[in-house]
Amino acid sequence: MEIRGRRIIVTGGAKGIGRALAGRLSGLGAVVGVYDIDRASLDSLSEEFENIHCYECDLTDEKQVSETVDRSYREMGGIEILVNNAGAILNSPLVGFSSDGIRMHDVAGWERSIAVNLSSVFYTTVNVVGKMVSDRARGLIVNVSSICASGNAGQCAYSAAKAGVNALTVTWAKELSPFGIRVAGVAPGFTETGSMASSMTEEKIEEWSELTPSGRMAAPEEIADGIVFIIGNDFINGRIIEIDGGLRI
Amino acid sequence: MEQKLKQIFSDILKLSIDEIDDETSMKTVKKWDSLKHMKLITAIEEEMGVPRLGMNEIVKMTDFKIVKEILSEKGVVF
Repeated sequence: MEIRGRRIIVTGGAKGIGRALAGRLSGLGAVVGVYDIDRASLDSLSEEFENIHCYECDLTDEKQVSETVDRSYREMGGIEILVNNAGAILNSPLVGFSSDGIRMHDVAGWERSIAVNLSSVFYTTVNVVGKMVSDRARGLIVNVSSICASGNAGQCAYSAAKAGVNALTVTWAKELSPFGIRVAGVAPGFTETGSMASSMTEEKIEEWSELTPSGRMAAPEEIADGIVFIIGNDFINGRIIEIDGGLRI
Repeated sequence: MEQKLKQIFSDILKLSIDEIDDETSMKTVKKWDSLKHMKLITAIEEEMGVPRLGMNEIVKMTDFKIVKEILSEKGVVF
């Protein structure tokens, strides 16, 4: 699919991988809309890229998502590509130990992680695909998963949510192909983002970098490159491409 | 053209040509689900040479008779 002139939504596009992608797509001539909950980061994105449409939205609130999809669809003149990038890492094992004793995974954290990393993908996609189907327009959904989808100790909610994202990617590819809508994903490994920096100690980051055959974390731009590749290759469908510096080989 | 349309139905819904008539509908053919429906629509557009059907038309095309009626409106002669 040609990128120039395409109307593309990037969720969580004000920071990290989403921001790198939004900037890249804008530079390639796409009409880009970003949904993000972080007002300050959206303002900074607007300053850096005047032509990117910015929408403040809590993606865990279906009503807000529906209204934001309607508004952006109207203002951008349609939506042809959706990149479900928004998410948040949660480090919490099922059973944890500290100097205070044993600590079980809290239910609120579980529910929040599922809402941010999985339900948000469903809410956004169901609203956007409704428009694509009504328009009978060919479309593309790209889901940003994680290599954690295969199960990462210490991140049970996040891993489960991302495994759900993988299942949605495959299921939707099968369901939506007859409508001319492609669905694919990328699964980044450890990536240099604010979310990663705030969720891991420097020692942990160094340890994971050493475990990665490429010997370092990914730059957000390298993950954005993978998404641009998926947009450009119409034969990628129902697959999730791992971009992890060889960590899972 | 009716024979051509029946062939499309037969190919997508895996029915014999003899089983397809004006009574053939989503209600009577269990295999005719949402996914098969879109495959049917795409095949009709491609093979019958009709312009892209609108969503309102696609929603209505749930039996063979109505499919013929809508295609007739598009200029297909049965």
